[in-house]
Amino acid sequence: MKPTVVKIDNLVKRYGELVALDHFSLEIKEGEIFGLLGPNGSGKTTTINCLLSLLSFDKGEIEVFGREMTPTSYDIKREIGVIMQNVAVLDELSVRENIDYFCGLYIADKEKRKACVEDAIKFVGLEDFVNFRPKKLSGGLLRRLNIACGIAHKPKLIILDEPTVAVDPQSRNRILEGIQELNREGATVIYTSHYMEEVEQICTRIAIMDKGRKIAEGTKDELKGMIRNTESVSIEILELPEDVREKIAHLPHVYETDYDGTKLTVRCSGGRHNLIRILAVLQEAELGFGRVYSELPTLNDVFLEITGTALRDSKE
Amino acid sequence: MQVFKAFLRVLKSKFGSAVIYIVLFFLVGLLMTKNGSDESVWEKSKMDLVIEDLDDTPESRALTEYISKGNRIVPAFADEDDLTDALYYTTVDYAVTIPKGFAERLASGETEGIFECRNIHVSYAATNMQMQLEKFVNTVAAYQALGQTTQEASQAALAALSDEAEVTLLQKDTGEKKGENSELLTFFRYMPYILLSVIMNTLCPAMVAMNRKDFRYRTNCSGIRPQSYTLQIFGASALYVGAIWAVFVMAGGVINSTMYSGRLWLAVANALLFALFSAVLAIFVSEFSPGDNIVNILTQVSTLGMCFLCGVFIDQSLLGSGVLSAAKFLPAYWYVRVIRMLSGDIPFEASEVAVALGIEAGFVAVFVLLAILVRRARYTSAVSRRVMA
Repeated sequence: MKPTVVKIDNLVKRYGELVALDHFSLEIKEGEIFGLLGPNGSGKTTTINCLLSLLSFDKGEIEVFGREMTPTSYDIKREIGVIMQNVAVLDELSVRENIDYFCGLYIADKEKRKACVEDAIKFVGLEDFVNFRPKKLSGGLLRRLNIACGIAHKPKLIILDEPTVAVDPQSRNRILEGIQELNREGATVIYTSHYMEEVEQICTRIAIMDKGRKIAEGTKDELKGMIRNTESVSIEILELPEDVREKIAHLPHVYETDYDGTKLTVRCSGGRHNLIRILAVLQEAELGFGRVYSELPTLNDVFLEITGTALRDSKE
Repeated sequence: MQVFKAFLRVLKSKFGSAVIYIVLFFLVGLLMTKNGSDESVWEKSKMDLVIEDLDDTPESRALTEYISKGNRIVPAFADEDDLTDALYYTTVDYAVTIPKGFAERLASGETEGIFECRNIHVSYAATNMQMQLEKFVNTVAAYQALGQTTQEASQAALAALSDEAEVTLLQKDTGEKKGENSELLTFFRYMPYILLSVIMNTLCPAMVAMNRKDFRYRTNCSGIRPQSYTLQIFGASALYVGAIWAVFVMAGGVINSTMYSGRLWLAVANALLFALFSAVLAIFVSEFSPGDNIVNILTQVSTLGMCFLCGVFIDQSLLGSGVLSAAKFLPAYWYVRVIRMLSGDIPFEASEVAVALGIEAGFVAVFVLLAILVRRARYTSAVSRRVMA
């Protein structure tokens, strides 16, 4: 069994009357890409800040690499790389100088540091921009610099707090691929995001947060297995008699139908050949229909079913 | 030393905005030293004057004699065009023609248009000449009113208007040239302006950059201890401020070809205290994380305000008592007071110099405490305001 890298036990953090973290617990094993998924205001960044001892907390325990994490746990901090939500670099230094600065906070040896800085530049693909000032970089390149500053010292634990906010799709893919590569090289990764597609794409295990609480945890398949919905079938149809809809609603595994005048949505729980059975009913009724989609459940469906609100629609 | 080196790099990137101040200051310092004037004799400005006396009477000759005094008389031109050219090309500044019948018109009490005046370029001297002519005519009229003949009145006016008040230069400007090393001390007197400008314009934005919230967060996540971070920042600041101070002190000696000795070291210590004050003021301001524009405005207001109020630009002896009373609450007042004592403007008292230096040191201590208080208050408020995400 792989050792535990991060253990958060019963963490409570209050801001006055507001409970930011409500008895939040978590255990992350070595080699995982652990996703913390939740809407804005769910407590992801507060969790990270508590984990890094940037914030004090009211109750609970945090252990990193099997040792208690405190503000003076400098030996633990040296093993952690942090990539914040906002780009945290000095505009007055060049790309190389910025990476060297942050790397130097962890590695004193000049030669070793130099090699690490070069590796980081290569890793994020900023070789052509090393002498540029951050203000001259595009948003995507700036995010890459932000990542390079966080990983240059080759940390064992990398914490990424929404690193792809306001990033173009190309840079986002590159960043996500980079995270997976870092993980392959041996780093344990904690990845917070409110973009479920990203979390689904790269995370090996996911915890879903809402209002400071962990509402679900597991692999993406485990999470999807927690809900009734296993398949959503959508059919473009301009006319749907009530008796045909009733017939579809009574098909095996169908638990919900929804028709808005142009599109019929049928949600199924388990079973196979759901689509074929639905289409057979429509053909039998001699009803013409347009495009047909069959979608597997997403983490948004998981969030929707557990909390009753969509992940995307949640307000800060 | 990573923070130390990074901070010096940030300072270096901010230094460009201060270069213009430094260059101008050295230039002015150099000009003041090399072009210092010893003039103590003052003379009225002279103008080139053409007088054509067509009347040739005792009255017209009295007028001619009066306006000739203090001016250079140019012979009259035969050709009118030559006179116009001369006036245009300023080889002649002013031309007066006293027409025939001048004495008679003067006797009849006329004052307007009794002579012809010509000039092309408007100048202070031309206006003055106009006033002189009017003054003569009015003075003659005044004597005539007393019962004198026109001839007597003209002579009396000439005599009366020829009297001049004797002017003696008691003190030139601020007393420079009075004591030893006066040029160097003048250089030192202006130093608060340059120290404040340079240090505020560079140290303040550099501190703001290093205190940026996200940057500090990331730094705090690393293995570096907060004490080490703060020490490195202060170490780099001290090195920078010390270098700025040393450069100006050395430059003062070089420009004025003076070796520091004796009481001049007090001026050096005085400048060091003011440099320290400028640094802690910059640190204090940076705690509020202002933008570059705000820093610029604050720098201009604090620098110019303090320098004008405290006697850096205008000698303290010329400032009103109200202004001086207010200025006592600013360190530049005490800085200038020390310089005035060293240059002999006011009597030198060792105890008063010590008090002034002590007050300057007090200002440094107060602003250090204020900076610490603001930092703590802002940190506490930031933690309590931090929203969960």
